[in-house]
Amino acid sequence: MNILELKSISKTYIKSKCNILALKSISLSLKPKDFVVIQGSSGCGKTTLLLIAGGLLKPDSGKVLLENRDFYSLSAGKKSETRGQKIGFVFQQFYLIPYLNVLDNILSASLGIKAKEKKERALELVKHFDLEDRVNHFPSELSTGERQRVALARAVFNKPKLILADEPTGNLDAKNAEIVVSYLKEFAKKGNAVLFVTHSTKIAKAFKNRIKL
Amino acid sequence: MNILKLVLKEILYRKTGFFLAFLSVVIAVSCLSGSFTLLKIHDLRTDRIIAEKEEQTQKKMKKLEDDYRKIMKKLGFNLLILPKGQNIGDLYSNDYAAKYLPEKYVETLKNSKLMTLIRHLVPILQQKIKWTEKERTIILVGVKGEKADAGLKEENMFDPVTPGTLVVGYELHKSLGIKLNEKVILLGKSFTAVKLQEERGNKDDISIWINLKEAQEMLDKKGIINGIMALECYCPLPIIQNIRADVEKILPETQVIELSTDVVTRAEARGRAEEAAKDAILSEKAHRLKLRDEMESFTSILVPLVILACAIWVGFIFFSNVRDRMFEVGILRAMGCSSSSIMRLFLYKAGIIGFIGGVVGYFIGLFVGTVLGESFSSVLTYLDLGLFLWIVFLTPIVSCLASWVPSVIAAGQDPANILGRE
Repeated sequence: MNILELKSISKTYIKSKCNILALKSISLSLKPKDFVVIQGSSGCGKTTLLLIAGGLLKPDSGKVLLENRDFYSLSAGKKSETRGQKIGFVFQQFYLIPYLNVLDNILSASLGIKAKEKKERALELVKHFDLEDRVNHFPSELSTGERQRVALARAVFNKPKLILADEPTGNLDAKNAEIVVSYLKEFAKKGNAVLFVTHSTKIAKAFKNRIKL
Repeated sequence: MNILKLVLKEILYRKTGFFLAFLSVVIAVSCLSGSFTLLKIHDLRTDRIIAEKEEQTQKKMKKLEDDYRKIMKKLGFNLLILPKGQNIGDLYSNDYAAKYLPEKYVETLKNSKLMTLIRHLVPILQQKIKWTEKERTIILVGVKGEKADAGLKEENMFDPVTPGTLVVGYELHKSLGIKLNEKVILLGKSFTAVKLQEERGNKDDISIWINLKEAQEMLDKKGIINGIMALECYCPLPIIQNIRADVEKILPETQVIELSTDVVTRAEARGRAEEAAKDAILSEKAHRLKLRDEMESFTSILVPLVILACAIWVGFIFFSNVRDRMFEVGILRAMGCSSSSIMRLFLYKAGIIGFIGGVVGYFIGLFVGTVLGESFSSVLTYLDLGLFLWIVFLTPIVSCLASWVPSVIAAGQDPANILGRE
């Protein structure tokens, strides 16, 4: 069973002076253990594709199937709940909540869902991402690598089936980028799927499954 | 992690925004609570002023009553009870004592239930005689003070004349050179002059008062009198008018001469004084009520304006807060938070600001209102638990309403727009 399937996705942004075609009839599918890289230059529609895949942006046409269910046919509440349970997001800008420490930022993923043993799970992730001595630190007190690891920990907190990563290594040094990519690979190997978006040809070349936009 | 915890942590992080919104709520609530406190102080002060005025009036009226009693006493009597058929024109003639009353009528009158209003009874035996020792014609008056009111003190009784003493009228002691405590011989009997009367300009100036018993013996009229003075100390106007008929019912074969013109006038004057005092209280009440209405009108305009201004200010602060937290809203939505959860994130904050601002604002208003209206020491006197509970209940609601539009905007944000800014 496909974890994610995009069928003939098209998206046009309607602006005041001209319409911008971001995606035209894109189809792809992610099975368990798939790690797919989307590579393209800035403004080619990578993030649009990611947002559509994550149920945050409705395509003009085409279908998004998440575990064979039409994602956009769900009610707004159900869609949010499903997104919280099945999908993890990782962004280049991390989007950590500035007034929460590392532990609470990871725990913030539990806001939209009902999860048991939240704190144990968060501490487990803190240990896994080597953030134990940073538990009580705020995002502004962390290095960029640490911030991305916190974001990654937050993304996997709810044990999602799919991670949508938008330039997750864009702001990182080589060492931290390697840590993030390694973890995502490991995540995929466990029967999950990763849709990895990057503008970097170098990173994209390191993966077999890659799509160029 | 839950929404409330997230809200509390955000409040601690963005202290300035919280403080500004909190300050707005405090200003609005303290205006409201201060106005209520001032109105309450005004009401209590009004009650106190009116009570003081009423007390003063009561004291004044008691004094008036006392003065009235004393004046009545000085007037001599209100009623003169005479034998039936006694010609009033003969009051000063030689054969005045042609008709008599039994002295026991005094007892009858004293024991009468109808006579509770009469406090002094003075039986008199009065006759024009020749004072042979001094070669003068005088009016000899035998009197005896009787208490009709059991509670009346002896010193308040109508000038009792003890046996062996006499009281001398003005013209007599002046022309005869009689001194106080001088031994005087009257119709062969020795008396001590215990009192010399002031000038009255009437028959009293040529009168001598002695004890009734001695007068009866000297005039050979034992057990009889020719009149009873009934001295009224206090009697409301309508009762004065019925007294004459009452006395005639109790004592047969008598006539009652009512010497009440002065009494009625004084009773009327007293009534008018009482009415004037009541009018003064009513006027004060009306003045205080007018003052309160003016204060209430002012408050009813000022307080809603302040609340509206503060609500708008809170709304602006929340707009700014929503703008600052766009990425937070976006990532929370991406992590599965529903739009209603996002809305709660802002409304909980507004509710907390409203609650704390309401509590603090109430006490500041109470404190400022009390200090302005009275004094710091009476702050707890004006603590209004009902108003406090209403404020604590309503302020979070008003605060949530003020932040409603920004909260709806936050909840309605498209996460794709926020997170998709490449």
